Amino acid sequence: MPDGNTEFVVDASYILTYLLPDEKDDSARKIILQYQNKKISLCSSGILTYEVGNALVIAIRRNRISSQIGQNLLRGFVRLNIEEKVVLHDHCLSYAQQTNLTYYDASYALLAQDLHIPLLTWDKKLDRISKNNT
Amino acid sequence: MLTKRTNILFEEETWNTLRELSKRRSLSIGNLIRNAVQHTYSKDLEIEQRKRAIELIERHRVFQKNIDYKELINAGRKY
Repeated sequence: MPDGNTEFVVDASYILTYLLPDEKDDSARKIILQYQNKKISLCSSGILTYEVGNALVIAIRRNRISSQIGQNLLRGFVRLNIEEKVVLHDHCLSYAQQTNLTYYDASYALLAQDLHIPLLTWDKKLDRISKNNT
Repeated sequence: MLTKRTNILFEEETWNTLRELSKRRSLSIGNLIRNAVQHTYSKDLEIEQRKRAIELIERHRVFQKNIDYKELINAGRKY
């Protein structure tokens, strides 16, 4: 492991709770600050940046944030430089079929399973499946 | 790409050690020094880069009411 002792896979929901925090819960910030100081390592599937970018586009369209804020959040996110890893696509297809997850979500859970590390997500279904399979 | 040049003064003993290592490892002294700098300071540089990223995010992020992250992601996947 390149950084701290503990490594996690993060999905887009987890990153979005930091970029667009819920007024009732900003707990993802603690993890991001640990990542900043290299106390922990974070990695994700290769779709992470696209998923975060897509969600920010929707947040802009719905006037949750301005376009300028969206640009700055995306810029900051990209500069966090969270390592995006390749998953084996044939495994991912089987995993998505077995678990009834979307191919996107399966890529996060499969990565966590292959690396034997926890997945950080706010998606309850994905969390449950990942915990059962890691 | 190597585009910046500097002059460094070494003590004789350090210089001799570098020359010896350079021969043994078949690396130029410049390469040895660049590797040592990278090894020593890369963690600090990465922490600094992440800190700047977080400062940028935290200058702009806005707390949200009634936000459903999964729904936002699914909408992003569709539209």
